Amino acid sequence: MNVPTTIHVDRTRIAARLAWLAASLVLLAAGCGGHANDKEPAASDPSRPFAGQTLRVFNWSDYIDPDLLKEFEAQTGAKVQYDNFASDAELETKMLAGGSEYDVIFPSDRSMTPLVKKGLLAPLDKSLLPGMKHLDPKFLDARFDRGNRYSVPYFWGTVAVGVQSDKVDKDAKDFKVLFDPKYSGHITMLDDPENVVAIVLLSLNLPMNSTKDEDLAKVKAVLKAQRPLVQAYTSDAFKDKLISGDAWVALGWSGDILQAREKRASVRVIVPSSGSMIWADSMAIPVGAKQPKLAHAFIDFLLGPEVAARNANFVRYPTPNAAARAKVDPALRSDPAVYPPADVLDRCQWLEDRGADISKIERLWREIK
Amino acid sequence: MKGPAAWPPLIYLVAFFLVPTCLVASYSLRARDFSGHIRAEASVEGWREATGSYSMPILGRSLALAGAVTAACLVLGYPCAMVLARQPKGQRRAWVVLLSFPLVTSQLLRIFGWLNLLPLSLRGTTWGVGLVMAAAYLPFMLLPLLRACERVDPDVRLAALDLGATPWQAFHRVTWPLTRPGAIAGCSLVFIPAAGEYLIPHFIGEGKVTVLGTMIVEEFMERRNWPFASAAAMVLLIVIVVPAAVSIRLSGKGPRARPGGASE
Repeated sequence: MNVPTTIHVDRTRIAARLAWLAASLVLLAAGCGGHANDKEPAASDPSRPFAGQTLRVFNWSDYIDPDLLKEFEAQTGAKVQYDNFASDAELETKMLAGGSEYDVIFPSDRSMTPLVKKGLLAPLDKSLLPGMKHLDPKFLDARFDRGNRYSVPYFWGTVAVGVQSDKVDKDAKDFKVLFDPKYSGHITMLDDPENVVAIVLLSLNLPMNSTKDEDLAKVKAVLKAQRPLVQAYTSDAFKDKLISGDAWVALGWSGDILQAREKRASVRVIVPSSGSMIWADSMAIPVGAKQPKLAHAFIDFLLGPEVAARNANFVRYPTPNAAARAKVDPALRSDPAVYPPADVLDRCQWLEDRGADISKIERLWREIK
Repeated sequence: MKGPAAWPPLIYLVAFFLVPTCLVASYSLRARDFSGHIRAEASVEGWREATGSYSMPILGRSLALAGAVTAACLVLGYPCAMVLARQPKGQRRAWVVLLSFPLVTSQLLRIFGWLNLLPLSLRGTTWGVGLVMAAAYLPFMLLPLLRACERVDPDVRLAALDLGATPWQAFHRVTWPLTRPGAIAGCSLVFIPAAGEYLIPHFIGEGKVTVLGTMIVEEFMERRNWPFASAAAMVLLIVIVVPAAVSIRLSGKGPRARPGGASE
């Protein structure tokens, strides 16, 4: 293999092969491109206005009742192509690289700020969204999208602590339990500086969005002392760790901890009465979406009280749809871990976009990890 | 090689290596956009971060880990290869198939298997990560070593012993020099991917073992700090090119155990 072999091949044959290769590449590219604009003429049947069209949806995994997609297909005649993403960054990167391959996306409140700022979202046509009247005003006009020009809330939730009730004190009721040396080796934290720093600031009774150096120094001291107690920094495995019993105290998203409780009854959900971080995911339409009318129809379909209630029963996150909430499974509706009482909710805060100050939080995180 | 015959590798090199590398290099020299992606203006901040006091210990840890994994694979793999090389051909074939079997199963599947197998005290530690990496990379060491050992005529070693060499001398002066190219190939096949390993430190390390691979993914995907992540990827590339060049030089010279046609 070390001896270079010179192969003498007729130049014209090589050229012919290259031409063939180039031609097939062009054909391949054309094939891929052609796939994207399969706009078919709308069917004349008025009961199935979108027959033949394809709606491309990009959402978090396990975040919709799959029966609803079938129902939407049956009602409109459209086909739904449903893809999943696993992180804010995955969605944002896809949108930056040219998001027009999707018609409806479900960004988190944290992602909304950059998406709006970069002009990647198309303004909504409210006349096509009569279902918006069902939404709780508390979740409208959010700081990341004043006047709901680009987005409609889908679900919301809090950051909570899941604990094993047979291992952890009965009276544990706030974030302090995360820093208790008694649970050394069985504590898991989100692997995310923004959320973790916010939670520590809350537990210290400091402003949750503070980037003041003296506040962050206190946070750093707490996290540094906590590090030897931590079993894992993870944003996805905490649910399985709660179910397996490896984690006794886990910081995570309320809905995931509730899903863990379904599988292991000893799991208890703590939403601190002093308030937590609140978040919301939205529905939005990317600029350049191929089927904007169909996208609006899909969003309005999900806003229907009946549909939204069934969806909420399935995903177990709280719904921002006031009309739907009355129809949600009573056990779910009355669970304070799902819908925190009004006074607790009033004390919950939204994570704000910190701009360039985020590097302070990142530096802190690097120093403790 | 010259002339048209060099075109296919040239096209491959340009399309799949040079163009992406140049893109990464250009990202690394731009300013960070805090809402994701990069800004148009030039900046060396990414390189400053990638060669700064945060990244350098992580680079050191990654290289030390990759070195330890390579050493462990060599120490485990060499005796195995020597023993296997002396087996009759049919049995040897069966062993090779069995030993390469991990390579045809999904790496993720094997990692989840290890997650269930490892005690809690080893998960989230550098030791645990190193153990799983050594197990995962062992076939890459074993197969080239086995190939090298097969090619050594057993009579050569016997002749050395007959001529008064101690077993250690026979190994040190005869067997090892003849199998060294295989060992070098195995070491580079293990060390190079191990230095940039992401999956095993991510899952077995449980967010507590930061190596270069996890750092780059984290900075790119979670922090959206593209210039830093790109600069760190370039640092990794440079750090990897050096041992690769060394190993190519090393395997190019030295005794060649290649009696014509002996390899099947």
